[in-house]
Amino acid sequence: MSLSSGPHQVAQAVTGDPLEILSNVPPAAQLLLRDHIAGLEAEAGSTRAEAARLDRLRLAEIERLRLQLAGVQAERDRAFEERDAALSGWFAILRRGKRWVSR
Amino acid sequence: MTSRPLVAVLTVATGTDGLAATFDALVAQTESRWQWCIAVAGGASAGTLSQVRSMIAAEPRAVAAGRTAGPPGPAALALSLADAESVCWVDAGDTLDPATFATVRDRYRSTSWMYTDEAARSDDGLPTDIWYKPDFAPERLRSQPYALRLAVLPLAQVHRLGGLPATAGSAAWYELVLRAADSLATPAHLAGPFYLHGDRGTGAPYVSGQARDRCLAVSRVLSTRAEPSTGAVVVTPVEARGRPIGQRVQRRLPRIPRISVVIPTAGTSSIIHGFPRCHVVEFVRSVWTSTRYPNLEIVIVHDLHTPQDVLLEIKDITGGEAVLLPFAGPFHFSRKCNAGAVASTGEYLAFCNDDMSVITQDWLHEMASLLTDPGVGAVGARLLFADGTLQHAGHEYNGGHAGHTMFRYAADDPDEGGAALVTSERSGVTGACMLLRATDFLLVGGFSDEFPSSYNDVDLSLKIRSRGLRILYTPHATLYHFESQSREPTVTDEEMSRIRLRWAEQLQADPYVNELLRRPLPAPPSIQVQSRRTPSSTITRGAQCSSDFDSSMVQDALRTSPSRNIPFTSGSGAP
Repeated sequence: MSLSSGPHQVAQAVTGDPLEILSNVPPAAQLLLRDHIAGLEAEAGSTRAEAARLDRLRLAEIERLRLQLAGVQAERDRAFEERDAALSGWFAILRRGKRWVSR
Repeated sequence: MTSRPLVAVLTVATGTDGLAATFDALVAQTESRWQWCIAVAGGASAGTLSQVRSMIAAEPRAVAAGRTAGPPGPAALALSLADAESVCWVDAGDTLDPATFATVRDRYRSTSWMYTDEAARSDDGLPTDIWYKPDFAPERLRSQPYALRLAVLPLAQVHRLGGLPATAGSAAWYELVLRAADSLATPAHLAGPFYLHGDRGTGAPYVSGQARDRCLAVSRVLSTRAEPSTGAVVVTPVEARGRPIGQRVQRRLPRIPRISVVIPTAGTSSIIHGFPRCHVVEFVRSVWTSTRYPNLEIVIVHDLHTPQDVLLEIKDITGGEAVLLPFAGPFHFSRKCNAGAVASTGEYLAFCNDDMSVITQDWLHEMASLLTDPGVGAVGARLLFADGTLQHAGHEYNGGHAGHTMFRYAADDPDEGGAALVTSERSGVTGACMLLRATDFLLVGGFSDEFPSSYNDVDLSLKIRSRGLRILYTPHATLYHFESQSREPTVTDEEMSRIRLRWAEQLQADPYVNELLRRPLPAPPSIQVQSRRTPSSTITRGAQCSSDFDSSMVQDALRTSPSRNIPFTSGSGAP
């Protein structure tokens, strides 16, 4: 069984555009198809929005961790400085002592 | 770094009352780059000028001019003093939150203009009776001066828009904001009661000035719009409980499009106002005899078990003009409505429940006239229970739920800024009475087959909005909806999960619910939905699964003969 009686029967030029083809679908079927497409688009939109929300949360968490790291590093550096200051004091005493001994 | 002030505050002083409060509020601003432009009105009380002079002497950021009775008028005079990046209007006696201009500064670069919430000021200076406003809603602005306090507009644009004409009288600032709404990009809404009224005046909630001036301002602005369809309008004041609330904008229909009223029914009856009532018969009688609309079609989609005498009576009422479409199968609101839409011939489709009765005779004309705005995709009516309380004044989507605005409030209640009393935007409207273009209905796929009983109208509304169209609610089209007030709506978990799967974001970020009142989804995101059509497949949130689409349904539908074909363009991008 052929799908048509031949190209010479076609009255109008066709473009083969899928959307043009679908425009000839009966309305009841169009409703189903279009709702299905709209539903997929909506779900995709929701998924994108959720991904964006999670990304914002991730970036905020990274920023929080970065600030926390900076704080810890600052604390560490301060501790090093305090240690160095203390050590340098002891070294000075030791060096003075050494000089005194060597004299 | 410019030293030009960020905001020029315009105030017209008609007396000494309240000027000091406004002055103190400006001095208390945490952002110091402001300018206060005071125009002393021609009829100002004695002592006003001297008080203003003392303020100018004490504060170099204050400037004043005054005592003009004729043109250009005090408002324009105040504007002429402004030398800042932007301007706003503060009535004498009203105050601002100390963080107002700092908040404006933070948002200024990212938006064309902005407005805030407003409230009354209590005796201790704190906000009370807060008006939690929606995000920008242009029809609401035309129906009510809701985005005026505090609106901040770029000064250059204000001059380009014509400034503050003396002819606008007490509505000069309103007219300017209306023009800005038409010409500039969508404004930002700064949620929070930044503007505090010292005196609530006579309006509800905070509508002041002459009603006539407001109506003329709206009329002038609409008459200069580009769309010829909105060229002719009639604007009349709207009051609630004797207080001005806004205005009604009635548009002329350039032509009378055919409207198909689609009514799904089973022919049921119940007792209303003490008398038995066959709903569909009485509603058809109400539509056919009471509605003032000349180009009408009624399409009844009835269950097979609908009593024959009901159908005969409908034929009798309509003189055989009603289309009677038998519907086989279990209850399915969406399928019945879609079948009715396919069988109809109207350019517009009005979906109506059968248990209704017309109150406003020109309800269809009113709803259709709002569709003359090409940016509007659907219109919903005000529906009242039999006792006169609100059944429907639009949808609100919040916390993953869909609710009705001011459900069961008195019909004339001015609460929520008079939301139920003026025509305004909504995220959705009920399918119990909804008017939309047939082309739009088809383009979005009509009522979804996924929602047999609940949320089909929510889904349709959100599909329409996802195409960039707005949805309007109008209180000027009112019907009774005899839905049982005691009946709890039965919502299946499956339908709730489905609607959240499709519209998770929209159900927690309704732009017409104030940002401060929005709530997130209550459920964790692990939603599993069992497909109704192919029980073996499941949809998991975030998954790409779409296997629940059953092509056999399309095959069934293909067997029907087409009566309305439209270009099949892909739907819009996701919201």
